[in-house]
Amino acid sequence: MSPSLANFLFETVNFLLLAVALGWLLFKPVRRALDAERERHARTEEEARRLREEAEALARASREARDAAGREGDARRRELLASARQEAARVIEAARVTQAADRQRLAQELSAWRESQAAELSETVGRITAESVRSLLGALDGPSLDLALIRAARAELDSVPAEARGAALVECARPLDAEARALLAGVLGDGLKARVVGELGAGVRVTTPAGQVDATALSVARQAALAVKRSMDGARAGAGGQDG
Amino acid sequence: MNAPVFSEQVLFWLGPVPVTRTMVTSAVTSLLLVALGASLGWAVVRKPSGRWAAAGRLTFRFLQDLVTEAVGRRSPGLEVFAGSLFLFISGAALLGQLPGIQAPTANLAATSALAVVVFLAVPVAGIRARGALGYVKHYFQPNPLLFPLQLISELSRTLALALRLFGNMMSGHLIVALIVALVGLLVPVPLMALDLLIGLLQAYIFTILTSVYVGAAIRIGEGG
Repeated sequence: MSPSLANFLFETVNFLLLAVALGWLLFKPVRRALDAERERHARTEEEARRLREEAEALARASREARDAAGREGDARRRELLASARQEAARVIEAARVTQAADRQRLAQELSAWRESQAAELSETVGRITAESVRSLLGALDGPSLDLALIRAARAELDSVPAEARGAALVECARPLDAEARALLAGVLGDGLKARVVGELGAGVRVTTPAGQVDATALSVARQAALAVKRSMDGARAGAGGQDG
Repeated sequence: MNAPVFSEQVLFWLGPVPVTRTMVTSAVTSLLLVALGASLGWAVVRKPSGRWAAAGRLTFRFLQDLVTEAVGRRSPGLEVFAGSLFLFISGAALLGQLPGIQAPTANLAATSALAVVVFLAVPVAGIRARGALGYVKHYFQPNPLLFPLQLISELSRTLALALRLFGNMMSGHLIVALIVALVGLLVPVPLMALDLLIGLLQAYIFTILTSVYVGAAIRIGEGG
């Protein structure tokens, strides 16, 4: 065999064996390793992409939740504000009503107190007036006062019908003297009987079926007190009308 | 100076078979490449974070990209074939830089063997991809009259592959041997670097052309 032919054949077989050996020892394992690495990278990228999408979804959900919470918070704040305003208005209205009721109650109490004070004052003034008149009449006590009062009684008895005078009851502060008895007898008849009532002060009180004629110091004092009281009541009523 | 260009230096005989210097160099180159490839593959699988594994991945990716760019798509079988070619021619060029060793690719029988392997790989790949009829049919297209020209084209490019590689590698070694014989040891160092560069470039060219030829056979009838 020629060296060139042997060399040619050897190189051919040598290269084919080399290719097979390199394919088995180098290319195949490296290709597998790179493919596995590529797949691992692809999986990692896929995982990263999935995680990124999840993170984006979470961020989106978080933003939406935050916005919703913000909106809900605003609505809640507005609702609480409106509720607080309504509550404040209600409290103010209740206070106003309470204040008006208190004011009315106080006004009523004040009016009642004023009325009672005025009545008491009127009573006091009437009593003082009666006392004063009685004192005054007491200071003027004497036959002339009695006589004057009896004359007044007789003048009034003149208006009483004659048939009612017969059963008249005569009360006097002290026993009637002759002149006084004469004056009364002229109206009531000679058979009159008089009963002494000391508290009458002076004068005479004649009670008939047609009515009573009271011409005593007590009656004058009462009339004076009544007149003063009536006058004060009238004045108070006028003042109350002006206040109203 | 004794630089055999076309002759074979027989070291010994194994019966009727001569064992030449080129055969020994090729065998050593192949063994070293197998050892290197095995260690790189082991490192990529077992120690993927180491530098050796990184070198293995870089080598693989370089060869893969080289083939993919030439073919236009991934082709694992062609990657092994063309990658082995590149590694063998590169390894031979590197080994040829050692004193007293001639690169096996500087031998016409060796380059012819590689070219014939490529020549045979083209129809094998085409038939595997398209079937025998589909592959043979392309010799008669677009016109059956072009069949002789197609055949001549296949043969001539195979011859060109063998002669280009042989011429470049042999001439580089011859020049370095001449310079060494004339002026001494250190002077031819730049020329040796140039020779190494040329060897690597020829490996690249041989691999690219192989990928193009085999890729064309694979893509017959694809309309691209």
